[in-house]
Amino acid sequence: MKYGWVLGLVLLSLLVFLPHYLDSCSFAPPELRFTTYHNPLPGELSSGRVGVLRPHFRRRYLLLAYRELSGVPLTADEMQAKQPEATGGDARIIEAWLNARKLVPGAAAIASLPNEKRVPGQDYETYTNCLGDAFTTAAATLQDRVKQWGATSPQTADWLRGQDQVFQNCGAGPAIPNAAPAGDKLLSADRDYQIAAAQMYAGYWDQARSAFDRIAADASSPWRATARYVAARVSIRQATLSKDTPKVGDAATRLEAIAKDPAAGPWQARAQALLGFVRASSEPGRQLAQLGDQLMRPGSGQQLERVLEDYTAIWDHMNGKDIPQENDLAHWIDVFQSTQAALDTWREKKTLPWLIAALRQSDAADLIAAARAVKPDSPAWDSATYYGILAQIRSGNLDAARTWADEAIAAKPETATLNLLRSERVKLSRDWAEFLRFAPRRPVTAMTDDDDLDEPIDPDSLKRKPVALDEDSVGALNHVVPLSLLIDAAKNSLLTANLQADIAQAAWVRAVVLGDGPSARALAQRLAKLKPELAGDMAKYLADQDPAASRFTATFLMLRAPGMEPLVRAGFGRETPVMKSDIMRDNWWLLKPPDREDGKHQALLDLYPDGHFGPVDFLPPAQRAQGEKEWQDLNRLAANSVNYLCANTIDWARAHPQDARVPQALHLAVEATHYGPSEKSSPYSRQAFDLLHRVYPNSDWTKRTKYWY
Amino acid sequence: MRGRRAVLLLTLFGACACGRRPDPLPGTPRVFLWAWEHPEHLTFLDPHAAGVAFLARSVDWRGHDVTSTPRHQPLDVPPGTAMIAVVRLEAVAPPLPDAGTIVQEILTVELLPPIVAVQIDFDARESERQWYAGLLHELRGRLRPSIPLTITALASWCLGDPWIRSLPVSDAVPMMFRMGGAGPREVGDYSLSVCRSSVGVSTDEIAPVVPRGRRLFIFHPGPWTASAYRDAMQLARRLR
Repeated sequence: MKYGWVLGLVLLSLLVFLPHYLDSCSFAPPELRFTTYHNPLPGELSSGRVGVLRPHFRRRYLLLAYRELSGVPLTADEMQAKQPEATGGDARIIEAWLNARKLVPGAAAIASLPNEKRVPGQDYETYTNCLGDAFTTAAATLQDRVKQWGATSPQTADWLRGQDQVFQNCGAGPAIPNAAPAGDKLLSADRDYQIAAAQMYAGYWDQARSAFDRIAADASSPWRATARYVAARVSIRQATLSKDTPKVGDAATRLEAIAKDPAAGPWQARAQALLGFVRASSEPGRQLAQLGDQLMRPGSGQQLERVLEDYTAIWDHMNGKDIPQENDLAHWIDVFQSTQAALDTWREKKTLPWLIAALRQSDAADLIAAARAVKPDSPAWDSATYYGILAQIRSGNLDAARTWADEAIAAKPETATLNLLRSERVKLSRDWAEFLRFAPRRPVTAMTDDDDLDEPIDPDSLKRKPVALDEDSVGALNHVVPLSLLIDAAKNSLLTANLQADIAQAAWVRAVVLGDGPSARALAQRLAKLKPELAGDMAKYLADQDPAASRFTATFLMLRAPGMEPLVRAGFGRETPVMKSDIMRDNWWLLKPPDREDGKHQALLDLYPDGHFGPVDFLPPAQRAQGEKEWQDLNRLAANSVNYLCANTIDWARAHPQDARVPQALHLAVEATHYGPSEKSSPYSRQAFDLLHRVYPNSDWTKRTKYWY
Repeated sequence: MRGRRAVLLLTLFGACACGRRPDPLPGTPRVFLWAWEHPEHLTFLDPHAAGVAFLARSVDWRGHDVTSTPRHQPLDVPPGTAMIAVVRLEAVAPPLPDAGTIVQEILTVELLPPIVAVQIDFDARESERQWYAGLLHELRGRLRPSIPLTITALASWCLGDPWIRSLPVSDAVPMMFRMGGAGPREVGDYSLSVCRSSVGVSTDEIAPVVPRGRRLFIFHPGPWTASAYRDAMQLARRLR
């Protein structure tokens, strides 16, 4: 014990500096969404529907939608078109070449083949030098030459030496093979090609192009056609890597000649594709229009993916400038993704894509009539209906909008469309029952922020929350619906049991804070049935007849249940069980004035452009006034949950020090100032800590309360 | 008495050592801009005020099929800029490949012009953590000792999830953005000491509350511009 004080100091220092650990860890929970944000769902596209088109959809889906809306449906082949896997620098292809080398006995083993070079003048930018085709062609040629010359022949050995030198230039070099020994014409032809290729990979552009041109002019060379095409690629490389822009024109001239030459055989198509790349950099608008024309040709099969990739890449590169307005597709995307007026164009063209673009902004009667006339089997039906109803709402024709929405919902559209229609119907609610009927939605996606595309929600997530509320109904429930109606919602069969339970729990907290004893007792009885895990605590709450005592009982429960709050949440809500502390400190509540929502819920911004989601007109004025008053009172009494809970606890502890629950309540109050939304300047943490240590020095709860915060 | 004093001094030293970590990137700016795979022309940057953590290579895999892609976009910086090479790892499909293969790809960044550190960016799932830890140990063993090895970290890793405690890294940068609605807005209580030197924020999200002294890594969606840089530095001044 000689150094006991030192040991104490050590322990103290550890307590101060060592981290505390929470008991579990989770990623940020995904966000439930009721409509898609980036794309129609795959099921919709494959069934020929495009859902409700949103301006923020990725452009590739707008391209596909435009085609569907223009009466050129996607074929089965096209729907399965996938992005071709990049082959440049692919380790597998290089490995295949290295394996092919083993056909030659005694060839020196090569463990790896670097294939990246620094862009001239750039410290950090690299490029893949030798493309996959080069290795594949080399492997095939070697197999062929082994057949012709034999694996152990001097020609094969010489050929391989030359080819190894070619590929040395992929990541290093320069290494240019010497001319082949006289005698074998094939080997000489191969060597000429190897020398030209080595010069290209070494960056000797002019020599390489001249060498390829000579081969192309040599009628006896088996590499004649290849060399003609690769010479154009040399010019492209020279233009891009050495910034020798005029060489773009040289490449285009060469490729156009190949593309027009029927004798070029398979090189025609390849030249055409490469020409697209060249034109994309020199004449992007023209190339965009050409790709648009290709997109509209039915039956493009696997080529469709290339068209989509090229189109979107060129569009992104153009950065919104000089979009060719004379091309209908490009013009439509440009307008649909902006706030440009589309009505005149629709009146001129009367096409479905322009109908939808115009409906987003205009309430013109002829436009709405045209939208109403779209048949349910049309790919435009979802968009025309949703935007048409929206236009009716904007123009004040609420009865017509309501009738249209009811008919559309009865037609049982896809879930994402149905949810959007239900959000319109909620906005058009005339009374409480209508509001409740259309508030619930089935989630269609569960997004994390870094997801690139909307995918259908997985069945497990759906099991957890088959039906949920969106921000519009939650906005109304939290800010304008009075307790009397929340009590009704907690038992109303228009809502599922899980929604009733969520509402009952929030309403009970609200009633307790507002001091509305009868409502709180009614909700406690309901909550005990809906959430059996709370039944015992609710029974204790109901057993207290004295208002002050029952208030402390409720406070004590809330301190033990960090998931309690007077708010209903949209989507998944708080995923941590109500009685458990959330690792991300999503505990209790902090009331704020309803914020203007950001762009995450673009669809609801259609209905609530000021960003304050949720209808208010469905409530009679007296009920709405009562709901708004309760919200204001709630903010006045308990905007900060930690302050509210601590104040209640300290008051009760001072008045009832003999209550056996008090030490634990004080401990939990101190903890709440750490794990809840506490204010740094609040005195409650210190007050609860001091009271606990002064009045109950020997309590286990006191021993467990080592700090205040 | 001398022994007692020595113990006391050791205790205080230990306490200080626990509370204050040495700077994992000494002599480098307190702000780094993340430069992702965009053309980045950062010639307006003040190298005394900010460094650049640039995506140098992306390595992804479908099982044992590994694709390693170096940076394909230009990156211009003023002379003297502190550069951190970031390597992004991505599991497209299981199973996990041989860690040695991935390490070999990461080591290629040593061939770049001088860098002050290597940063690995990998959102390891729980089932990938053991593999990732092994990879980092192997990488640390093969990387030049003078180059600090750092990682980006999901915020939850820094909230007391002890799995990253034993990683051989100088710094773990908790990424306080793209966290969904439930992300913490305050990083003061990150309990793991390896997470207490830096924090990652984004120019397009509300900045969290950051304790003084943290090195900031700032992400910007899209290429950096002079005005985005000015805003970022203003944000850095406000946060520090």
